[in-house]
Amino acid sequence: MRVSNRQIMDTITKNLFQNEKRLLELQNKISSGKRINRPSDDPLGMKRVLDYRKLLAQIKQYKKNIAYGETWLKDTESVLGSVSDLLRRAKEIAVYQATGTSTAQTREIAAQEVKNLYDQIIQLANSKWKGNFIFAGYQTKTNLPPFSRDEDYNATYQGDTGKIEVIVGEGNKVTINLHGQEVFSQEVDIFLTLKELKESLENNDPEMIGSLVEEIDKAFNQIDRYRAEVGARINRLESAENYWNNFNLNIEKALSDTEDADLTEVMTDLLSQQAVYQASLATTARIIQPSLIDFLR
Amino acid sequence: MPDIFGILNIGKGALIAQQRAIDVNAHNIANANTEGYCRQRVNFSTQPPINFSPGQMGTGVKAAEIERIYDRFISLQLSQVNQALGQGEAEKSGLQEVEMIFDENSGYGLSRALSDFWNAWQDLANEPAGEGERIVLIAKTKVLTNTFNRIASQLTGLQKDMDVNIKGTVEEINLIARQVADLNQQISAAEVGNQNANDFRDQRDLLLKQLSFLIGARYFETDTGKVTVLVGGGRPLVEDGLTWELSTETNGAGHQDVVWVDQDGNKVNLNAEIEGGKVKGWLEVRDSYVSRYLNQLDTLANGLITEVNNLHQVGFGLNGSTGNNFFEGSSAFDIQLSSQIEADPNLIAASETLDGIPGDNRNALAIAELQNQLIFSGGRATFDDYYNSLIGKTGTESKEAQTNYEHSSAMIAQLESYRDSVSGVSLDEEMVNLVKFQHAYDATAKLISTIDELLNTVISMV
Repeated sequence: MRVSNRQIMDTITKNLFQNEKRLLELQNKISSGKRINRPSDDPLGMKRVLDYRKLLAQIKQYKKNIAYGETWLKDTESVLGSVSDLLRRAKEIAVYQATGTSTAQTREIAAQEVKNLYDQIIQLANSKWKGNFIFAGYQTKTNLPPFSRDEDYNATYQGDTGKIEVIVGEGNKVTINLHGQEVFSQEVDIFLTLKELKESLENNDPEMIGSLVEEIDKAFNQIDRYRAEVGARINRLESAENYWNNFNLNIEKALSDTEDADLTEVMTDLLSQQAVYQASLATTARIIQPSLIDFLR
Repeated sequence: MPDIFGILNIGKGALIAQQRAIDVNAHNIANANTEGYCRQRVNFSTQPPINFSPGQMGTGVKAAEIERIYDRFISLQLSQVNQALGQGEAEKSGLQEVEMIFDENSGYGLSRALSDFWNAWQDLANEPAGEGERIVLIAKTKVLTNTFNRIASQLTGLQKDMDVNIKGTVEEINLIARQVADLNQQISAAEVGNQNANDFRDQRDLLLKQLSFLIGARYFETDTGKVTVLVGGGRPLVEDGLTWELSTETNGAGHQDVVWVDQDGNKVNLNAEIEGGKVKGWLEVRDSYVSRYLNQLDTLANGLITEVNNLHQVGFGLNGSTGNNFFEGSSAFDIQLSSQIEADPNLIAASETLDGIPGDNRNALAIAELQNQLIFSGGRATFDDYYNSLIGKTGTESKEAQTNYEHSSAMIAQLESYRDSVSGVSLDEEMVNLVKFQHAYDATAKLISTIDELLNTVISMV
């Protein structure tokens, strides 16, 4: 085959460019740490990368929602704990004041204490977390607290029965609030019971006082039931959080496997590519130099 | 008449012939690096012999012709692959630009903006009365709409760049066509006079190659050595010494159409008929790829506007307002946050009922849950699915264009290497020839001086 000078030069430059291009690609992978530096490097991989990134952003938000719901519920749990302590005290008062050892005078004092208990429970029922009334249904941020009483200790509820939900996963929502009506007024009306206790103490009516013990017990059980319900919801949130933590790890691993360059592999490629490049430079230098002109004298 | 002067004549002819050869030798060496140059060679032949005793006597050498060494078939193949190369190069660089416009590798593209948008709705659902949450949602929405607007306008900008390229190249093509027509005349004039128009042919081949590369032109040579150049569905661009004009015209979409003007000045749209070359590549990028990406982006933006607005309209803002749109606009170009909401964040309708304000978060939840709803592709894809497929598509198509381009450049490299093997100048070969002709010249000179001595001998005899 006939070989022209242009042919030699073109082949040399083409091959050197090719080698330099491969070196550049490898350097790019090393400096970015990424295997995919533009979608065309691996179109399917790029699509997976975007899917993973979206999932990670979703998981981050789900965990944020879960944390929000969890603190709301834990706050609810501790408020209910305090209510239940106060009801236990009310029951003690009722049991003790129903016996013959109590007098009109002790009942008078006890009535005072029951009034205090009543107001404390009202206060707890008006608890706020991050500025939201937790037992008001949707009436979370208003100037009117959900519970109030008149002079005769008649309680009114100004909240509604709204259920507040948080998203904890795709198509998965958990209600985080209990509204005041279900906790304090349904089945056993706690405020009415306490009002009756106060009035029977004031009226020095041991029989009536004794009959209210059972009612207070029911109120106590009612609060306990809701504490258990709150506990169950907290568990649900915690298990969702664990699930997302695990899933997050898996997705991060998958993302890294898809997107990140395997440095050992790339370094090995780089070294062998460098060797190829140097060899091509060395042979080029040998081919270009001599021609017949060097030998004609 | 073979006598001593006859020998002198042979010597004279030989000197001239060797000198011609060295001349051509010099021309080859001088043009070793000229693009498109084909090496030339002097063909020697013997002078007509004279009948004599004991037989025909030769009368020396003559330089019969200067031949251009060249393979017509490689030239044709080269021009075909050049069509593909031009198209591939234009598509490759256009589609790589598209990948940069979407900018998904950085992690700050539309995909991220969408995720942030949905998450901001969930944050608002957690605190439906929260002012901070409302302000963050507005900020994230603006990032999202700005990203839509930026991508749409950059893609349109890319289409405009293609228009500029097409317009400029059409002018260049007209210029080249006129040069080809001129060379047609020069070549035919020279060859009618029995000359080889070697250098003119090299120049014309180079121009024809450019025409293939630019607009996928095809050509054939006529008996008189002139070429006819055809573009887009066999319309003549050059015939004999005549040229037809290409020009551009703004079409309904505001883009440049390539038109061919016939002899009566009628314009024919060539867009669909151009077979290859850069112009074809640019047309494809503009009218096929980018316009499809833009459509899909519009579908996505439109879906977002419609779905979010439908829910938002039936919800209630913190101030009891209802029936408000969240987004304005209808496409990726003009999607905007409603200016009323931007002015008053309380209008964001997080509540499903009027009575439920402020704590009712059901509308915010419903909007946040749009993220996972199968809205696109006939109920099989979410917003993210639809967009991520679009990015996958840009990657696949860009990769295809790169592969096509690399394939045609490898073909070109092979063909050009073959062409250079036939037509390229080898300096070593020229040096060998130079030595060969020099020695012949030297020997001829020696011959003449020997004749001189012979003549001296004859003269001194007198």
